[in-house]
Amino acid sequence: MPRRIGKRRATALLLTLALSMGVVACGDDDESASGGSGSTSAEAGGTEPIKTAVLLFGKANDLTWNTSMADSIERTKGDLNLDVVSQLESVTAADGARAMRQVIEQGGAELVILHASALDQATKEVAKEHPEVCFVQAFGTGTPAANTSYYVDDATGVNYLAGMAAASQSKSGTIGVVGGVDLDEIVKSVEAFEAGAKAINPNAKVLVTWVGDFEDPLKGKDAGLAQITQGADVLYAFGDGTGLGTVEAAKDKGVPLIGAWFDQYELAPDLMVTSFVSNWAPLVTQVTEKMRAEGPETCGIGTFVANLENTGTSLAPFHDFEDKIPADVKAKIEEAEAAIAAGTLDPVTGKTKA
Amino acid sequence: MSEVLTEAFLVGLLATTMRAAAPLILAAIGEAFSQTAGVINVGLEGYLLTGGFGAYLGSHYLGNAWLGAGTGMVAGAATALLAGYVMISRRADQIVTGLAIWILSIGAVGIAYRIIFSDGNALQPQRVAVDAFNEWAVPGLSSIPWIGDIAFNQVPLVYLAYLTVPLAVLLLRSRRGLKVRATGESPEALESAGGSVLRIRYLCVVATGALAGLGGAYLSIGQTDTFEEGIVGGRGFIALGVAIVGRRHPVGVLIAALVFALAESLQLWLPTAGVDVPRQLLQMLPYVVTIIALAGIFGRVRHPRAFLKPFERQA
Repeated sequence: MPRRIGKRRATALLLTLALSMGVVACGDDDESASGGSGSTSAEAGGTEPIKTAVLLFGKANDLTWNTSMADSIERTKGDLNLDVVSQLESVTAADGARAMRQVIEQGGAELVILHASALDQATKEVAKEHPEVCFVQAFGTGTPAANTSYYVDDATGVNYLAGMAAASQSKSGTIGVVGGVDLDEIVKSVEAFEAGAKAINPNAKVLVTWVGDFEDPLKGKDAGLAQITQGADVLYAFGDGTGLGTVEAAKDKGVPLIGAWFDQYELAPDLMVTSFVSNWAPLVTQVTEKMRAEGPETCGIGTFVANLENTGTSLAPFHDFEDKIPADVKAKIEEAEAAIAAGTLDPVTGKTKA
Repeated sequence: MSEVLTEAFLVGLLATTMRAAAPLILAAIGEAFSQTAGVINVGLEGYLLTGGFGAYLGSHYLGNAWLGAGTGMVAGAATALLAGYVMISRRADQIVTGLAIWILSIGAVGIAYRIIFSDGNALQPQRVAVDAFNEWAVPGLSSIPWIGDIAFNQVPLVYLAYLTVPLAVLLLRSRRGLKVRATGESPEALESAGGSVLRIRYLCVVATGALAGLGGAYLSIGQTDTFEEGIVGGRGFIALGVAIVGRRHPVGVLIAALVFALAESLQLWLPTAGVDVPRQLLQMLPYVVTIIALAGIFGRVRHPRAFLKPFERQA
């Protein structure tokens, strides 16, 4: 499991790099110069660097969905020899195609990662125009073209494990989940969380509140306080910016909590039991390996599903709770992790399969 | 249903309602005066945002939440002053100006946040915790059963929000209140009696901005110590509705704000009570109330005669 200390500074540096390279790439004269420096490092690395562009759905510092990609690129670009030429934030469906053409035709990007489901249509269009470029699209629909890979995340398994850890810290047996927007995959993850909690404590009661917003810490806090009043003694902050308020509620009342999408330990060191972490490094690795082996025209790897088995999702370290989680619970979590990865346990229903 | 009517549930629900209404009251009460004087602040959402960011910034640099609330008020007032200049002095369309101010606020705050909190090397803001308000139990009153937990164990900004209501009633009844009404009803008569329409409109708009700025301060540093670019979340637009549904009267504003806040709080409390309500229905609640209110179910609202009309002095 990757340590996340210093991640924000790292992403900041990545952005600076991306920005300065963007400036360099914009000038025609400088293009050859940057290509020259690239071949120098290629000799050192043994491979040509791949010019990579990342288009994000939101802000790279959201400490969740967008950070998960920015951070994964940051961690892998050295080993995979990726040259990040640009990282664009808050790219909408309306200007998606234009942004893609810009990073390809002016930035010289050879690998374009589209971390926004809304860009699916634009990607299909531009991927056809540029068969010599490799595309990676979040939540793509239909069958991907030969030069395109799709990816989705299946966070149900890791949420089942998070639910187990949460239940082990609850004395009252009541756990509160504060969700942001009730997107289908998030609702499913919450069901898995509940199933996991019940695997440790069959009588566990899970209160679920949907705020309907990813950026309303005030409601996230009040929802958490309401759950604590109603007996919850562990909270799950599953709402991005809204979740920051839920963290405040837990801090106010000294209640342990679970974080979402990245290791949120730093937000509440004494209280953070664990978090579920999204990691796109395996996706980026698989795509670049195929791209280097077969060329960009057939770099597509089909649809990549991030899950426990391929470490696309994982449970963050327990940090300060390492000693507070009973050994038998830890053993059960490991057991469940293996069973989910092996496909013998359905995390959403909590039922074992043959 | 037995679980719904527990004491803890009701007290908790009402305490949440009480504080959820605070930013709505602060944003709507000045707006009620401004509309009475003939000017609508569609950019209220923007005043709340610049106020919220101003408060966060102030608390960050000055290290004190109260000073932060002050800088929040200044930021809100400055935003309103800009809107006022365009609407009052330049006589631009109020609705269009308001929307422009709202969008400008989003952009300006987004850029400022990125530049100031980016650690100096990239447009990548760091999350910085600042001094925030804490609950302050009012001595004596907070120990009254039920009422104490609902009303007198809140952060100071909540008390301030409710204090503006009686003050606004007094102001409305005074000579100055009469002038505000005259500005909206018959600006020419006010001018011929020696009053200044522009001056009163400016005062109303800037006061709206300052109060909304305080409301914004509640959103950023009232309950949490961190800033989100989306913290306002439509509360400015709800406050516009509150001012209108509340008939532009402080008591009406208070009641309307509490109704909206109750709808919002039910969304957060009902799921904890073991009542099986579909989550979609719960999330719709505040918006259903908004639509019912704006559809005129509570009766039609009469606008001042010079509402939305720019004033030009006769030469």
